[in-house]
Amino acid sequence: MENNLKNRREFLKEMSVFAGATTFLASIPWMKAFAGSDGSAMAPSDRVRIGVVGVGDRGRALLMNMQQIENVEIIAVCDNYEPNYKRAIELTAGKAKAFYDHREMLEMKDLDGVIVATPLHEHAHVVVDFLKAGIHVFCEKSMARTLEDSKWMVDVQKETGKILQIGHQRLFNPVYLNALDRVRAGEIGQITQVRAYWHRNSNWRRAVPSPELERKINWRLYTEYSAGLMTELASHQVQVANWFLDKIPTRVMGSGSICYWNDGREVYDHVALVYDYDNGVKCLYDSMIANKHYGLEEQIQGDKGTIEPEINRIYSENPPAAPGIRQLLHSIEKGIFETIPIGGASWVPETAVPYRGQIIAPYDNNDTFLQLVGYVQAIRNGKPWKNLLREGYHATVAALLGLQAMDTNQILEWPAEYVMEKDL
Amino acid sequence: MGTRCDVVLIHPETDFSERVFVALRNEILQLEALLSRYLPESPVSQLNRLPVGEPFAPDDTLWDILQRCFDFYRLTDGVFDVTLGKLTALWKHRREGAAVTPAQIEEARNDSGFGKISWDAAARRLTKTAAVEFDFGAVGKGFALDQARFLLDKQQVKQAFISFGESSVLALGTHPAGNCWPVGIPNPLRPGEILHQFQVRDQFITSSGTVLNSDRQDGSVRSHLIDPHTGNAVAGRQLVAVKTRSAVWGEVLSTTWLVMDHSRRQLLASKLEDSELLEVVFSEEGVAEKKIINSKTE
Repeated sequence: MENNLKNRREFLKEMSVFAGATTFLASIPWMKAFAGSDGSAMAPSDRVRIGVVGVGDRGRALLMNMQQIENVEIIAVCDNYEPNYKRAIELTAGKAKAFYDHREMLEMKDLDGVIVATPLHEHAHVVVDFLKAGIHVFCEKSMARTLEDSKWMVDVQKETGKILQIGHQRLFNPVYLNALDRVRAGEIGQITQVRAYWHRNSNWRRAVPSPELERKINWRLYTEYSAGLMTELASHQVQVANWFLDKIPTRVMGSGSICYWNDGREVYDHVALVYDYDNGVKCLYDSMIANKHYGLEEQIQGDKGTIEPEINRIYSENPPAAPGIRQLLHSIEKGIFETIPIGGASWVPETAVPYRGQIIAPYDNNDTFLQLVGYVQAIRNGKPWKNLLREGYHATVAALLGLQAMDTNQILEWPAEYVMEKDL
Repeated sequence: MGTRCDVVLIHPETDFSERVFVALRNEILQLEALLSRYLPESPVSQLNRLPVGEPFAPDDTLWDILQRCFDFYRLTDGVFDVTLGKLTALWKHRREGAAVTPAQIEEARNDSGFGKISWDAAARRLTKTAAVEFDFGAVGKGFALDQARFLLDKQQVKQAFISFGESSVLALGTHPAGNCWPVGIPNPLRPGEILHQFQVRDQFITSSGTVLNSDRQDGSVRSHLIDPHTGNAVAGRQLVAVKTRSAVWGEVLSTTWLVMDHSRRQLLASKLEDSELLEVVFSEEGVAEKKIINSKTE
């Protein structure tokens, strides 16, 4: 633990250097979370008290990351599923107050903020209850099951001024941030397309102890609770596309189907969509769960290069040739018959890594941890990071609009009421 | 091979060239996947991890490559040896300026040498009698270029220039504006000065040396050429470049030439059919001696 703490501090120190490394990075509002301290010199009055609502797989991961942050205390946990409820108590060594119903938490006087990681369809009313009670909220992505609910959450956030941060951890990931910095600096030229995909080969089911719990445990498979691949996976990646393009789509078209897992589920196991942007650029998206060969990626394609942030790679369209070859190409093009010098690099020792693009940034990237550090810092500041909710909101709208386009077999325009203007 | 490969194809059809390029790349990557000691799952890595005394059955490609390397080993009186992994690592990984001790050399030599491989030709299996490690660094590019040549011939590509790290080159047909590919070997101590120009047509060029290139103009020496008979790295500042009809043979020549003594060189020179060899010895001031050796020289 001691060692762990030290690592965390080192890690945050690195992050604070990184956050100020370029003008662009320093201009991202939530980078200010890392500007200054590594957390080691904090006053006891800076202590932040957190509750966690929904301690399933994701909720547990968020809780455990939260426990790694200095001067943060988990004082409440809540889950209405007994095994998760018990596990939450164990995870907090019995120190946190445990609840089955989040409404009982609203009266807790010392609660600064909560993490909401319930099934998707529960997000909206839980989040709104906390915001209205004056408690800050970190809500796991996607925001809500419906467009109306998502908008409701945003409206209540505006009304109350409390923090509502959506769990899009790539926004805090140094590899993505570095990649974006390089995109803004023109390294891959003009972005001409984003091609994103998330492929898995699994049934996406969780073990169910008894049949009546099927819909509760496997909520992701039923349309009443979940938009399936769109809200669980696509929203992460369309968020990346929007962020890198610094735009939201104008319209979306797509097709969804159940092509492999005909096991009673209701959500698509295969989706393919096109998101159009106003400058003619498209984001081509597909996701499926019956082949995992290509895994996941957001290929940011520009006229000068390509970025694959998931695997931390940047490629040039025209990697510079070795000097002798450059000269040779020139002589061929000009029809000049001249000596081709070789041996320019002949005695440079061979490297272990062949050229397959370059690493974008050599960072340890526990972005789940980093986004929670950002949340805790926002709580200390008493106000949300500018434009951060906008990213999560537009990602959710894009995912849900995409689902609607597939369900109705229509090309859908992005409705004006779901545009959140940038706060300048 | 862990090195950069540049491919220049001269062909009127871009689509066709792209297809040939993909085929070439796949061929070369496949060979790398077989021979690399940096890829942990490559057959050569497996072979290097193989315990002494345990039989290993390489696939046909690797078996043939091993057999050819063994032939070259015998032909060069043991100077060309792809089993010097431990000796090479010893010299390569020593810290700048650090000495390699006789004890270290002795230890590495105990685990080096083709003689410590026992062959079962009928079963196409081999067994190590010492903890020998293979390193195809010296010859992998040659196998790749020979294979590339084969593929280009099959596709009827007549003009191409393929370069591995600018140290091993296939020059097929001619430069579009001339009657050959004029390949120049620069003076590593004087950038811009060409020591010798080879007229290359359907041939390979490869070079090797102990003088660092002009990236570091201090004339510093690196020691990657090792005499298996002593375990010592080749001293002095020398380079050799050779033009051959077979890329593998070129690699064998260029890596063994500087290790060999005069009489062995003479023996090898008698086998230089259709080959041309440039040998340069440097002093502090510059070129001390330059020789061109070819079939006509004899």
